[in-house]
Amino acid sequence: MKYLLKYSRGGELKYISHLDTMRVFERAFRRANLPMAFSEGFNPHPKFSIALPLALGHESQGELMELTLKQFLPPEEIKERLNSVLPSGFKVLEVKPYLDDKSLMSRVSKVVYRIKINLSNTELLARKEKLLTDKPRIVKNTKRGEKQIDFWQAVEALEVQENGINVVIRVGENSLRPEEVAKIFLGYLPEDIEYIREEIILS
Amino acid sequence: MNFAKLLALVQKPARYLGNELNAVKKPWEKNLVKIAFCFPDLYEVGMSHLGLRILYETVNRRDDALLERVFAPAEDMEKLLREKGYFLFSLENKKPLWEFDLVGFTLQYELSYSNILNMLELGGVEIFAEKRRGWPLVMAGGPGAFNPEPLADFIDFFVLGEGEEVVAEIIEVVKEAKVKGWERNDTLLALAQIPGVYVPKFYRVSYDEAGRLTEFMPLKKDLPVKFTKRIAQGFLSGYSLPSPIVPYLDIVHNRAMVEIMRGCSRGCRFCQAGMIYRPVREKTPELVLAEAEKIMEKTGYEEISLASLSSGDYPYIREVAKKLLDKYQEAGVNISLPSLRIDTFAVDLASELQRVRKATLTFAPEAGTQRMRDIINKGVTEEDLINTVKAAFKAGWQAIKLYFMIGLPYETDEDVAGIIHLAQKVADIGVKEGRVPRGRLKVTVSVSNFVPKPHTPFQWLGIISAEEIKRRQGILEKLAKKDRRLSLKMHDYRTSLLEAALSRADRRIGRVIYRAHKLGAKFDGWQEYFNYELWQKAFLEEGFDLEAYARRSFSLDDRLPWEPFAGGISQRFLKKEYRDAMAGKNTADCREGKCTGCGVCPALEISPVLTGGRKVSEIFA
Repeated sequence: MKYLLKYSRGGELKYISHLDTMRVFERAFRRANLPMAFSEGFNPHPKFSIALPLALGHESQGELMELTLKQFLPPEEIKERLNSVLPSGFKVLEVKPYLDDKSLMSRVSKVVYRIKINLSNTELLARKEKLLTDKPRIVKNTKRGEKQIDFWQAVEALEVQENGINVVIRVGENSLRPEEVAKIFLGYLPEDIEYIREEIILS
Repeated sequence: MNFAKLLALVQKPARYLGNELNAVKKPWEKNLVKIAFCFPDLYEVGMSHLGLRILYETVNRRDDALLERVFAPAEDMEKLLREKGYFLFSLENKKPLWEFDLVGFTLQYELSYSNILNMLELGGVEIFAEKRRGWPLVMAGGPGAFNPEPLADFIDFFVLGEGEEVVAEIIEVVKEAKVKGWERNDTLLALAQIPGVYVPKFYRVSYDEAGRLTEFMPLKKDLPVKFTKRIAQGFLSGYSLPSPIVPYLDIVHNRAMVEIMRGCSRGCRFCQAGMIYRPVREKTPELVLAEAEKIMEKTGYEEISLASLSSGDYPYIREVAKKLLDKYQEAGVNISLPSLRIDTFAVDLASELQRVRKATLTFAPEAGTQRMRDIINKGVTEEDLINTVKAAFKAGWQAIKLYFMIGLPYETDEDVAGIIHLAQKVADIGVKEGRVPRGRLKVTVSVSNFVPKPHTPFQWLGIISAEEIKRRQGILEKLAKKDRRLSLKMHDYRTSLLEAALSRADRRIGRVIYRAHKLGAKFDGWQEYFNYELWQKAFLEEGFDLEAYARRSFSLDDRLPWEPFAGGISQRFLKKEYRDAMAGKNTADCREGKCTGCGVCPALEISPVLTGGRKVSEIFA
């Protein structure tokens, strides 16, 4: 039985890595007594996967996870049991059956980030205007050499809001990290910037 | 201090969060006795230490005290702290070391001593005990406290033995001292009355040219000249259930640790743990199971480790492991045993435990020849090893790891070569048993350098010279090169020399440790930081030659600098063991029924606690 879990990560727990997050959940499943399904083979692992790794230091309001259990449990019960054993900082927001054949990972198409920047609205708007006229290209070093990415190809939308911007970034081969978006937007990368993943959009 | 900002700038911020599952954060403002437990190494190493977890729970379940964790900051964090002028802080309340009442260090390993000085400095605590005023008091415990003198300049008081037993008495004294506003000295004097506590400033200590102890004199009335260690009375009733903080990071031993017994009575003559943690005390299987269950409920770990110095010796090991496996197999939990004896039972046991996950099999013959194994009282024959690996290859293992030492007393070149010959025999069995595909067969031969430790039968001897270690390593290398089935791993000889110098050191070496700290020594146990030349320089500048110091030997009649801190082991027993080693005579395990006369039981007024009605008959020699 497969489930789709939506959860948030905040507070100091934004400082743990993707692998650490996997461990937190695996142990929470056990404390919650969930009937986990395991992979076959030499080194069995509980069957769950996170749609998209979340970077160290980023918060999120909309992480997605696919979880397989050996038997059916009501989604609401899964949510409650997990929330009673998860460390504060993680919270399961929603659980529902996952009915798609495709893996969750392969379905990720866009991510929505809120980037908090300590600048006035006018200044933010001016920078957006400049980006629209400049149409910058970003040079990335990959294993196969340098690669140029068109900013407005990678970023589907960029909206100025109070104390920051909301961006919709396309996920795929020519993707940008939110830090790269912020750096192009500002021309530099300040220390006090904050990143919050608002949503993961599936295809 | 802007903590979030610091976290954003370091590589593994999870080291400093302090909000892990089951961590205890008490209100700082309440007038509690505040203890900082300092582990002089990284979070990943320190969090794997059971003693920290036991003390964490022991203190934090009291309502008049708190204990918070402090680890050595990684290089990037240390740099930030120094640049921004912040103090090293505890994980829970993020308080600087100097704000605590007690700052305690655990002495697990000599090569972490430089980190202790560094942590005091970073935490805003005066490094030298004699220059400190008011609070905090700096204390230290752990195996290193059985030779406290090298750190006597920096530590206000040492605790010998199992800390969970004595910490309550320490807290009571500190509470009273705080309420009544005692002077530092008076507090220390009150602490010195507690059995197992040593306050170096109340003793005059001197040595002769050769480093022999000539004087060990209390400067106050009614202070002991010989220290016995403390033994935790609550251990066998489950009182010392360790607090199962669940780290976010992947630490060295990332699993539920359930202690099944304490002490080891096998009596390997090189092993300090085997001597200082006596007598052996076995928990009942019911208690082990109950503790495991409790820990699992609170943690959800994927592995349970049945921990002790020699888990294969625990009489109920099979029953306990099987029950746990039956219970947790469904949840993907595996059971591990940290130390297995060389016998076919171990292989059986290991095979059974493989139901969930397959681990490498590791055995420690320690020496390559029977002559040598008799000298060290390993109590294992070549036949034992051959039968064991035969069983292991039959059971499907393709790789086996063997631990050895070189530089043991009276070792000849044949003994050294014997290591490789033995490993080859093991590999041959793998080939002969036929189950291992060519190319998959691997025997890892891990060879460390023997470092003599206080309170062992080899305590009188120095380490062999750097040249000699290199020469013997050369013999191993040459022999192993021809055999592609073997993978030889050898320990760096220079860290062994420093470890040897510090482990049997005396009070004079405090100056050297301070100088090394000033020169920048830290994380000496980590290859990427260890700087031998720096330590050589520190020794030289204080008038000592590092290597000569590490190599110094004593005669059996000499008074040793660490003799007052034997904790209960009798010198007579150690001398007898030393002579028996020379004669190649074995000493049996007292659990087999006959007391060996090590002296610990009478000194501590205790006897080994064996389960299932087994007993040790006393001798009155």
